[in-house]
This record gives sequence, C-alpha cells and structure tokens, in this order.
Amino acid sequence: MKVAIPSEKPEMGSRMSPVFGRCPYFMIVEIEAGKIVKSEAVSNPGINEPGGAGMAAAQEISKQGAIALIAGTLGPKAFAALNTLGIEIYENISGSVQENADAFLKGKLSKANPEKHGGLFKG
Amino acid sequence: MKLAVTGGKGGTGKSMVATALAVELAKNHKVLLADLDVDCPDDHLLLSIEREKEKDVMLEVPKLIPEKCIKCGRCAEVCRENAILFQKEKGPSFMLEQCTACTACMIACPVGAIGKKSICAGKIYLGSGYGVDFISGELEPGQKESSPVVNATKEVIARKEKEYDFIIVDTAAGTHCSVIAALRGCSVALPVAEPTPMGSHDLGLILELLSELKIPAEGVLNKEGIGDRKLAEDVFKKHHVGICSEIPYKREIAERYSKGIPINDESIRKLAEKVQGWKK
Repeated sequence: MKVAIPSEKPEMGSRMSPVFGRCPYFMIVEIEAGKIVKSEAVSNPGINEPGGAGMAAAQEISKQGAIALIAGTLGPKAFAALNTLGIEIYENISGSVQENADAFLKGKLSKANPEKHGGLFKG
Repeated sequence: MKLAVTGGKGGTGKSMVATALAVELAKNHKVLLADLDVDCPDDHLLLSIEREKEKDVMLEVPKLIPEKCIKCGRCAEVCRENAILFQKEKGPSFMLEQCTACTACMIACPVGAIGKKSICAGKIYLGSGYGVDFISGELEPGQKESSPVVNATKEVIARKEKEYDFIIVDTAAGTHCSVIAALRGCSVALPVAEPTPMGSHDLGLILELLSELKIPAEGVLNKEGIGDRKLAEDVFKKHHVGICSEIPYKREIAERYSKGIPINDESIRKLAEKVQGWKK
C-alpha cells in the first residue's frame, strides 16, 4: 500500500510539511509486508492554485495510488475531498518524513480527528 | 453616459459620492444608480430606498447522469476550479462549493452525461428615491463568485440604458474580478481617495487597474481636511490622474450619511456640474 506524506523537500530526510493543500512536495511511500520498499517525491499541483488547493492536492495523491495520508492540519474542503476519495487520514508526529513513515509502520499514528480539520486556523 | 465610482480601499466614500452625485444630477436629468457592490450593497440605505426584488440570478451547475457516465475523467481534466474529483473505478465526484458554473464539464463530456441543476446565486432589486431610479445586485451569502451576479445585473441595466442620461455605477472596494466586471463598459471612472497612508496605497492599485482597463479616471479627494492630502495627491500625480473634486471632512456630511439622507454639500454640486460638462 502507498501512504502520502507532505514534505518540505523531495527527500525522506526532509522535515514534514505542516500543511497539505500548499505543501511543496508529497513523499509517496510504498509499504509491503511491513517494510518500506520504495519512496518517490511528487510535486504538489495545489501549491500554485488560487483556490481549491486542497482539492488539487487530494486528487494528485489519489492519482499516485495513495490510500492513506499522514497530515498536520487540513482545510475543510481538503478533508471532504479526501473522504470522498476514500483516503484514510492519520495524525502526524513532529519530525522528518522518515520518522513519520517509521511511526506509521509501527502503528504508532492515530487516525485523524474530524473536529481538528475544520480549517487551518481553528482554535 | 455611464460612469463608475470606485476607489480601492473600503470606506473612502464611494457609496456616499455615488448616491449624492446621482441625487444632484437627477435634479435636471434622468439618472439610474446601479449598486454593483454585490457582496455588500448598501446604496439603498443611504437613500432610504425600499427595494423590490426584480428577479433571482440563477446559475447552472453540473448534475451527473450516472447511467450515461463512462468514467473517462474528461470532466475533471477540464475543470479549472478543482471542483471535480475523479477516481478510475468510481468516476467523478462534484464538489459544488468550488463550482463557478462555467459549464466546461458539460461541454467536455463526450457522452453528455453531465446535466444541469439551477442554483440561486443572488438577487436583483429595483427601486427609486430622491428622483433617482435604482438597481442593485446582491450575492447570496455563501456563494463563491460575485461576478455572475454583477454581470446579470448589468444585463438588466443594458436593456434600460437608453432611457437614461446618466448611469452611475457604484463598484465594490478592491480590484478583483467583480470590480473589473462593474468597471467594464463605463466611459469614465471616479476613484474616491482619502488622505491617509492606507487609502493612498490602495488608490495606487485602483489607478493601475483603471489604466490596464483603459478607462479614463478623474480623481475625487474625500475627507479633505484630515490626514495628509499630499499622500493622495502624489499617487494621483504618479498615475497622471487629475483631481476633479474635493469633498471636505464635515460632521454634517457624516450625520446625513448615517441617517440615509443625501449629502447636500457645495462640493457635490460642483462635481455634478463638471460631470454634466463631460457629457456634452
């Protein structure tokens, strides 16, 4: 299975991006039999969109075959789009993309709380 | 003659000038005041006009006909608003909050699987007061795009245009697409400036827009007497725009404005005289 992780730079050692719709890259991490077998960096088309960036980002990771996403905060439209596309959302931990991927493998990440993703600046 | 009262920054006095000028010109001419600030139209309040709804502005958004859909994904490809999510097995999902009713998806679908559904984007109102005929467009709260409501109101105006000597268009603040839609077709624009740093910065933006749209501008310096008039003067000068009118900062003006009574100031009379001169 493939999991998408928003990333500041196109590499696993990069800091994870705290945003989704306008993060510069996604690392698409392929997992087989409990191990990371492949990782690939993908540019996020949402970064240049005037509106609906979250939708464009969600569409892109779906196109890449990701069925799960590790994320910081999501806007409400992105959240709705990801649900429509059947992509499961997991809460991130602070640190690098690699650290998040490892935590995901070990089952240490919890599923996202819908109340948290009403919008980027919700208190 | 169609002229636009605009300004960039909110609160500079666009609606005050538009309504006052309309009332003054209406003493000797047939005038239509068009409130195209469709997000927050309030000219009717400044003239205590009771509006009556003329029509709804309907937009056609997509409605999928599932049995016809071949799941090719073409609709999602052409959508510029990212309003269509596509999955190979499931087909398209329409996120209508993003939709701007451009109908590209309906046109692009090779098998005609996308039908139409009407939604109300806003309303158009008519009214009259103080000798002025009045029309306003008002956006339905929550609707994403103001321009369709501006353009629908302009269509109604176009049908009546010949009856009037002057059409005064009150635009929204800012320089975005609904302001552009309101400005198009006007033969002259009156950017209303206030003598403050924020006002002057935004003035520069609206003057650039007017230059891009090739609409001649004649400046109005409002709230003259407070702040630093040189701030606004410098910006007008930089953009080669003259100041055709100065309106003083007076308590009486603010009081009348707050009560929904037209301003009755000498500066408005002089502005109306100038405008009448341009028509000839």
